[in-house]
Amino acid sequence: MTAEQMYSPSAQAVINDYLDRLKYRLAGFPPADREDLLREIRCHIDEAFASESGGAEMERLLRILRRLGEPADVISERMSPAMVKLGKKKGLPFYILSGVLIVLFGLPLGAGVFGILIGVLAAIVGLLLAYFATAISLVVSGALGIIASFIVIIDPAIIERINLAFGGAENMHLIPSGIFFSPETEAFVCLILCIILAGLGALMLRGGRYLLRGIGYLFKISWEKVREIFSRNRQTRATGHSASIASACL
Amino acid sequence: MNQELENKVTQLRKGILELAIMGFLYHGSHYGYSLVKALTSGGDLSLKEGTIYPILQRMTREGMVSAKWVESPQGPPRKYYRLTELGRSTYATLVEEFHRLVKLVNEPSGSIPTEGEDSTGTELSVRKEES
Repeated sequence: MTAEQMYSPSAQAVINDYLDRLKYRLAGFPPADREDLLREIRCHIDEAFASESGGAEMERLLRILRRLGEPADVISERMSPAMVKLGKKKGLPFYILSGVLIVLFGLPLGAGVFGILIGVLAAIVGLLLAYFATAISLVVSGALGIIASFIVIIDPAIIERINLAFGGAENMHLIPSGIFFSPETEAFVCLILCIILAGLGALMLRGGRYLLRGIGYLFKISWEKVREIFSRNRQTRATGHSASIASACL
Repeated sequence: MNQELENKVTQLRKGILELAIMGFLYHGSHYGYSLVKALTSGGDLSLKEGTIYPILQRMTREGMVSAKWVESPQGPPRKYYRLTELGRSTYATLVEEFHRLVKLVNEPSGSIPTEGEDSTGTELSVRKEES
């Protein structure tokens, strides 16, 4: 026995409308869960309709649907645990902070949240790039400096010769301070400075790992929030319960 | 009923509904509609019947219940739910806790002696002042 045979066209239209509204609200759910839930609710309506007599067809049907509850109420049962789960994930300070920031500034702005979110994320990516560029340039210039210093220590005359060959000034010093050490001493001081420089760059690169991980979390939580806001907006648009849902989330 | 009171009642009912669902599944497998019938047989729960499906779905994901679709002799296929081993042990723990809480709530406030003012303590401090 198929559902089409069981109901009159108008009753079928009412059922389809209910299921469509439910489907709309289930947009944020995993597809398998969504299909299963719709199928179960459809099955519930059929079962209830077949087993309960009394009253005209439409009257019975509307009673069954009323007992089922409005689609928004039906799925609200699944929303809160999803939010709870979001809060229970790894307690990285970064993660929590970004969540708080997005909740504080994102939610009241509604659609404007995307602009802010994209702006913030772009700024963070920019900072990240600048950070790594700095780290890499420190390492590279440090390494070059170390090599140059070594050359000077091994053969102090070489730099002078290279300089002159390229038309440079005579008596070029590595440390342009006006104090003239011997080229070897200058090279040695320079070597130490360059090692410090390169070490700083290396440390920055190492620290970048944690930074990357933190940013990864930030992106993840932003993505989840955006999805959540998307599905919430869809719900609220129909019912106008935005205030209560927003407060429930906070 | 005002909004706040309504929220409180809903919160209370939510947790107990889950326990009640587990209770019925503890004693046998059910499909959605039969579970609703069983839940409402004892009286009005003012239950929005549709809400049990998301709850069942969540419990399935938590591993508390298992579900499978079974062809029905009449009508559409039914999704039958049963309590898993994890669900059974969880249910036992929850029921124990529930009974403890019910006892706590039912206990008349007078039956447990409340800690009144300690008279000896007061006297002691008075004596101390005298000396």
